[in-house]
Amino acid sequence: MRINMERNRERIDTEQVTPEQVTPEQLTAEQPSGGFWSDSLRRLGGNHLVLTAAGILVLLVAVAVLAPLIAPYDPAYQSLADSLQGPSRGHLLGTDEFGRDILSRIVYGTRISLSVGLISQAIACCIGVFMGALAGYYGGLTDTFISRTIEIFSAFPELLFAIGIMFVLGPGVINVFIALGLLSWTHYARLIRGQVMQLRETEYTQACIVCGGSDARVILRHLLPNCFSIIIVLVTLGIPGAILTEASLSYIGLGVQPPTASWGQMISTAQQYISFYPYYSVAPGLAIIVTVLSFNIFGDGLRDAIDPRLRR
Amino acid sequence: MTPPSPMQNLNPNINPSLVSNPVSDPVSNPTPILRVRNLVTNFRTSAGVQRAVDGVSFDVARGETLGIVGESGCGKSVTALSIMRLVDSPGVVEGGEVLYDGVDILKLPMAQMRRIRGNKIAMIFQEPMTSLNPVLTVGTQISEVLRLHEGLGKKEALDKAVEMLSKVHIPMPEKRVRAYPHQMSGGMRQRVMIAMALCCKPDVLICDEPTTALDVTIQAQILSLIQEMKNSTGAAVIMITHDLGVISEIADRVAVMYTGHIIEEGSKMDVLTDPLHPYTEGLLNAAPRIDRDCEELEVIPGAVPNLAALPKGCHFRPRCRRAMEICRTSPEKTCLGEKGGRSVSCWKFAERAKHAKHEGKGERT
Amino acid sequence: MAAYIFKRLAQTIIVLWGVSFVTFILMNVVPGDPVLLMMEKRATPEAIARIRHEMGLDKPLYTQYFNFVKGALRFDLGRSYFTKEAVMTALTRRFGVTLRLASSAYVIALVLGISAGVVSALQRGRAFDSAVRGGAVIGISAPVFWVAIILQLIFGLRLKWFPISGIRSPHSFVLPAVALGIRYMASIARVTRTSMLEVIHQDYIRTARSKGLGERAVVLGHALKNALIPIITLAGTELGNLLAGSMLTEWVFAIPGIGKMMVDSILMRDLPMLQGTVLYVAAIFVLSNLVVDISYAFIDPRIRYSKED
Repeated sequence: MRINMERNRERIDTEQVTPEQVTPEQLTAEQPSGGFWSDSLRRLGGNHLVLTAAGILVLLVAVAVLAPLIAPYDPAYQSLADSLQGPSRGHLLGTDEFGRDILSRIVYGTRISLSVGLISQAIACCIGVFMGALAGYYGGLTDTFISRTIEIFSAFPELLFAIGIMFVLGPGVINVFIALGLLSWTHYARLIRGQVMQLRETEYTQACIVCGGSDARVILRHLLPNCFSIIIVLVTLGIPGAILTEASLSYIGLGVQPPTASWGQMISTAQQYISFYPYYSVAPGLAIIVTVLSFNIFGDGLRDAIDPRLRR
Repeated sequence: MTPPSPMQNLNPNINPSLVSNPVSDPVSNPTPILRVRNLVTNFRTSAGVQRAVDGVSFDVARGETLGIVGESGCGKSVTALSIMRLVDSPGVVEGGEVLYDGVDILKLPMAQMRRIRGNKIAMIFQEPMTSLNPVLTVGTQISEVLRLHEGLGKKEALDKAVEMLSKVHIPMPEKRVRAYPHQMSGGMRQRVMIAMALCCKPDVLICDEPTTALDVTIQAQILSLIQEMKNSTGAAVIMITHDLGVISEIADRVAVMYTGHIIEEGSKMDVLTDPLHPYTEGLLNAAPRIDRDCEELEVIPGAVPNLAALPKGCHFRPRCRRAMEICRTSPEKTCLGEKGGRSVSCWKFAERAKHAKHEGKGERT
Repeated sequence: MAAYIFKRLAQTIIVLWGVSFVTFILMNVVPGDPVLLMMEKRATPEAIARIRHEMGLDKPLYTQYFNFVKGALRFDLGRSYFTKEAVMTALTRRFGVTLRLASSAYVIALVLGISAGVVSALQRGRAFDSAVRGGAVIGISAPVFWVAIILQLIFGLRLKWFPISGIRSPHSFVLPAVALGIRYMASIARVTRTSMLEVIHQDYIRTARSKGLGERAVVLGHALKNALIPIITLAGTELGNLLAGSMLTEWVFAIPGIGKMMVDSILMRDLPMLQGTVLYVAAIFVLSNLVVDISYAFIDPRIRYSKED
């Protein structure tokens, strides 16, 4: 006399620890879904904070691209007579020690920060995904070797490592890209490795392997596309860290060099004048915070929308 | 206790529309220790309000086992949690009474409610794997209850915990008391849960699918343990399950739930041998039986409806083979009551009851 | 338990070796001849060759590496090019300062971060929760050095409550410790909140409530210990970032700790000093992670008793 009445609800039961309770998740599961991306977008669209952050990011990108049009002055134009002037109608955020317009320098600084964030993460992503896929797919000795390498790389506190590399490479924007790329590939490698390991065991992957698909085909056609959403989230959440590290490097004097305008390096100079001219320090700092904050909020929202399990 | 053919006992003088609650048999239920009246629990989500429990009423007496059976999502667990006042947000108990010893515990201040929880009314949960705290020893978890409710010292409580473990037949209790949950099997953990629930000798024990997550052989052991413990403590047991087998083994009375309502209630024999509601009938026909020779098991067509979008009229109507026109428009009603504590919510019996009233007979055709 | 510790110890040794290797490679691919850097421009070739020989720089690279590791094992990290002081002596001398700064910041971060996170989780959706979440995300978005400068500006220069540099009084540690702590406090509060929320919905919390325990006992006795596991992970990994962050803070507040020494040695291109500092900090980081992993075992019995993980 044993009945299993659960059969009609299998789809939900497999996901619910307590299938009995009516939870919001259950409701969501019953709503018609419109595919992975539209679902994620719908969830993302419901969050005003995330949308605001996304709006600010779009704005920042526009500022970076259109910097020459937006900046009221040439960021390099010096006028020693006007140095260290407070905010005025002519210079909304005042001028720096060479009489350059601070607002214009901040506008141009957006270019540095955003490109550092994007390019360094692109580099990190390429290295990380490649290494992670290799380790996860082949396992065994390859995995051991790559895993140990990841461990050794992560043994250095990030900034320390960045400083080490910058010390070797010498200062400069390009070198900052490289240093930050080398710094953060381990995050990608670690997660992709885990994902690929899991996906490798799925039926469709096994089927492709059995059918004689080459390793490259299996990895590129079956495994990596499934990691795509994770990669997007990782990049979004990696960018703010990279921007902060660049600012720190430039602040110490190992990053972007003057006269190129970079927020971190502006703060470094401004610090000397802090006692009588604090605006100079505050403005670039706020620029960093707004940028990093927007990336963080957007990234968190994206992660929650795409895959809340990534939280860990 | 109740004759297997209940329809002959149908009392034609009872106006079906007035009998909204099951009438307790004064012989078998002397004084119910727990009476649930019109319990309503809603889940307010962005997708709408779900009435997970919608006007549930039942009684249990000391030494009695009430089985609550139904498919997933019918509200049986939420009923249990509502009684304990443990429903998590967004669920809210919005109506009804839960009378323990005559006191409505839904209205008690939380501090007093806590003195009842685990002490007078205890609960065993479905997942023995996740229901015990992984970072505390089972001894700590059992003795915690004793220290809280019985005011025992650390040492005494631990000794009592050992005693409880041996009562639930856990071998080497002195050693096991220091073990962590992950070092035990599912059956062992459920025994620990039982020990924990019973260590203060509660008057009511609510078991929420205590055997669902266990192997079949272990299931039988746990059921007989619950039975044994009930006999020794004289507690009232509410056994929630989706498994009619469990019901047939342990229950005295059965309540069948569907979409937050109790649609049929009666003694075990009545309900299992002579189901009235088409849904109960469907459930029984879907069960494999050794005493009947049949080729195929019947299936109830369709699925449990979404609680936020229930069909109008009788909620079972879209799946019911005997649906009538009236089922489409008006909600079902509890229409049948009698001495054996039998009730059913179905228009079929409303018609029949009226009919029976006219003819003075309740014979079923 | 012993097997687990042994395994982690073995892993740590491998990682430490790797760290020494990477450090050595990094420092040896630096463009420019260190000897030329430290000598006056007018040094004779003979003098250069002699110093080269004295410092072992004329030997093949693998011998140099071997000597470096051999030295490091005996806590001999060479001498500064400029002050000629033994690197290890300088490090130990300055480590105390950094330790004071970092540990004060760490305590601030842990105590305030965990409490804020726990309360925030329990008050989910209320004003306090929103404030903690907002504050935390701003906290992790603000550059450490900038926060330090702003604190210096407000509490040092304007309000004159605390000194803005040096280590003359215990007072002087307040601003740097807060500046350094804020960021870690923010990330610890975030993780605590998430972890608490996850734990609070577990079945065993419901069980604890069903036993009649009060909210305090449920949270402190049942939830927090489970929620601590991810917090410890973070506290461990953040320790390294804390050390790195202290470099910036020390720089802002002119505190003579390891961080300042490292930045100084970079600016002066003092290779042995830099190499030693990097190795030292990385080693501390790796060892602290080891401690974290072992302390897991004390919190989570599932790790303590499992042989294979």
